Amino acid sequence: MVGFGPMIRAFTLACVLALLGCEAAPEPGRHAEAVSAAVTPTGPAVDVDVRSIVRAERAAHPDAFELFDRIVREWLDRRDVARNEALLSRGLRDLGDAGVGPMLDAVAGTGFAQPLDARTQAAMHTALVEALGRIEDPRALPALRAIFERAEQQSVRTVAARAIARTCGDLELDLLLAHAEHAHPNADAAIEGLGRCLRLPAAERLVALHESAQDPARKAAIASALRRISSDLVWRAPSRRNDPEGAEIRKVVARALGPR
Amino acid sequence: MRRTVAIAWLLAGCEAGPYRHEATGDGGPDPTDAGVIANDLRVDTDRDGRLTRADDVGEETWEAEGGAIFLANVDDDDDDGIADAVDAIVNGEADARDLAHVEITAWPSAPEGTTGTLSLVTVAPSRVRFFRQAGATWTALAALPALTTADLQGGVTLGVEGTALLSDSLWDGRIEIGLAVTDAAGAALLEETVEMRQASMVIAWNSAPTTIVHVSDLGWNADNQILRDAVQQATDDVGILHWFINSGDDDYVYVDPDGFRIADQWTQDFFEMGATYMPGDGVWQRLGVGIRLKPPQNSGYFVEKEIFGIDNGHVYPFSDPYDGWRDGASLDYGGNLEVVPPHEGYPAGRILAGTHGNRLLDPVLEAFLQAQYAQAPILEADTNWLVVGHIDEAVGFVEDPLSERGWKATLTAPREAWAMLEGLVEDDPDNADLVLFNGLYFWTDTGFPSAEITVGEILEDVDLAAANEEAQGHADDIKALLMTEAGLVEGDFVYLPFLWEPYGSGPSGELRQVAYIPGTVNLLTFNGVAMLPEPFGPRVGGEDVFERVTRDRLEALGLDVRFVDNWNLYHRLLGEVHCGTQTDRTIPRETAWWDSAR
Repeated sequence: MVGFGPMIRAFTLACVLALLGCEAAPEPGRHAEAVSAAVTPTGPAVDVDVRSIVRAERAAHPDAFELFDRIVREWLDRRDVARNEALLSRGLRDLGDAGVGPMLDAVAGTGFAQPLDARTQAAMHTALVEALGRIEDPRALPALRAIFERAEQQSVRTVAARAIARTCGDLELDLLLAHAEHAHPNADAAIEGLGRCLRLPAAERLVALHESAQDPARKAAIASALRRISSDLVWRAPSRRNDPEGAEIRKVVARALGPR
Repeated sequence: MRRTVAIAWLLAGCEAGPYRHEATGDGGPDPTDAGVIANDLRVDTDRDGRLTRADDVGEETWEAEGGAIFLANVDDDDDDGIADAVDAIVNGEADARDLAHVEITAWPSAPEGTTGTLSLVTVAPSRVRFFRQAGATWTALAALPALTTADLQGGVTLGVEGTALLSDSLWDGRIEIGLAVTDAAGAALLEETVEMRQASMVIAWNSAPTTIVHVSDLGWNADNQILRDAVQQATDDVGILHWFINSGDDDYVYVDPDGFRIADQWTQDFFEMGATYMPGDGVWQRLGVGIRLKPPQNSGYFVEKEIFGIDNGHVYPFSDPYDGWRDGASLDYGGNLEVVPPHEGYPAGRILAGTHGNRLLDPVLEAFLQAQYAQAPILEADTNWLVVGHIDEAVGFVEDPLSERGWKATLTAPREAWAMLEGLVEDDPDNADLVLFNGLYFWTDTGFPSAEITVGEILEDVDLAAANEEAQGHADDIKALLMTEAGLVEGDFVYLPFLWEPYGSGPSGELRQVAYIPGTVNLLTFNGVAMLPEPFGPRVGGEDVFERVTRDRLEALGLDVRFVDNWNLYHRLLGEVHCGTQTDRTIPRETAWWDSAR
């Protein structure tokens, strides 16, 4: 059994990463410097950010912390191999912005102290990352970026890639681009994220990767990401229907995947 | 060589004179004919429940057109908690009815010194047991007996049973019984063989007549009460039974790996009902089979405790030890075990299950299902895109008595669902504010954020849009599979629109999906009734748009359509009405499962 509480006591992003099984050293890449600063235990910016977010949220939304605990405990009581982390993810997502505090508290290992077996803990991590991504609160982005880059489990990195792609600001885009190189151990997760980042540079990088990919499985995954990013359905959302960047993305992808 | 032709021996110089024993044609020895060797090895080859001369036709080879059948005697007719096939005792008249008869007809004028030898050829002799009848008594045989002159003069009746259900590829259920008769000098008078086969288990399909509907009884739970009330009303209306399973019973509550004891509302998942059938004289002999599923949980122990008994057996076909947390474990649930109703080449239907890549059925369960030759091989659909992974989430089958086929496939239609929402807004931009899931919560019912969402908010969710487009691709794959493998055509499908929602629940974090709007494909149907989850979609003119479309399409088939609020206990916990119910059905009398013999 691996417990939350005994493992983590400090409100640092490094602790978040430790809890999620992250590696100690930052991955190489264009974003390495920024992430390195973020995950240094003594890195004041992030340390203060996470701690201050949780503190402020606990004051502003004490009920959300209580609800979070109830959701997790009910989920634990209903554990079923067929109906697992999706159930938790859905419940946490519906906490909305008020859920960011308790969720960050939980990934830091201070908010939910019940001992969990490794499998359950992994499922909970996946659900937390996914729910934080769905909520799209910018306060969670530093943690999500670091989790994407450093989480030990592939499943968590993939979910984190999608989570940051939902926002896909400049920092998130840069991070995904930096990790998308073929040789990078995080490339699959990055490609998954880029395929959901509705930004022209994401499409352009995917096109380049598609052209250079040798491995058929990798090439298919990139093509799938390109289809997703250029999907008419995605760009049919009322607020995006006339988005010029969307039109440009579709052109780029059409040139890459269309008949030569 | 399996096929052995019975031989007609012309006994030159024989005292009784020339005789004729034909293995083909409508004949066979008639004991009243002088000079004919009247012994005949007789089984119910023509499957009419009677042993007659007509059974000699085609007796050497078991095939779709003919061949005698015997049952695995897995029920417990003396109700002692031990399957009848486990002991070597015929436990009363009911047990005797489960035996298939093998007759050596009488040859009253058999000369003294004439003897007979019975032989058994099978790869699995330990899986069959023979009894010999003497009046009302049946005595187990350690081996097939040598037949004395008196036996041949008076005739002998044997009974045969299988000791267990077919379970693997090592034995397909066939046995060959031989009879050799020799005179006092040892000269061969007769050699004859017949081939019998143990009955395949058959799982009745959703459009087959239903006798019982099961629902777990979580007595304290109001949401479970809603479903039970609906099932009670509907079963009463059509005059069949309902069985509310006491899920608080300590013996078969769900026990999770940490020892938590949970009443299990997923009735569809923890067991399935099958049956084996043997032709009888005027009525088939049927043994129900409760298939315990969802290992290693205790929920399915229900079948052993409650269903196992007179005319009902049980089986628990899983690896031991069983890894209950492997990715594919969810596929070993009853919701992932469906049957495509009868179609060309499969007069008793075909097993349909979801699998994919590394997410596979337990190998013992798969072997067990593949051994049920009447409905095998398993038709495998890709359900790896589903969080839960059960085939009943995406496709189902309902009666359609007006059609030639008699049934239709109900298939998820996410693209249409999305288009319906877009259409609402195109019709009137104010419809973007219409609310789905009005007054509902995804997590308990008080104090938590509402599940309510507007049409406009859904249409803005690009991840949801992409997920539903992908879901449509998977639905199209299932449709193509059914068209290719079962010969369905466009008109055989009924499309039920609802949306899916993605979660990163695959082992590598890949997205899998679960019904976002209650999944109406996951419906319970029986005897003209279709009971579906209430979709809680946007309402226009006071009517739920998804409910209206779904109702219209199913009522057009003549079904009595009933929507049930299954939100709290089922939908929000990733299941629907079908997941929460189980049925016991019988295959229609006109369906002779053996016609599909492979």
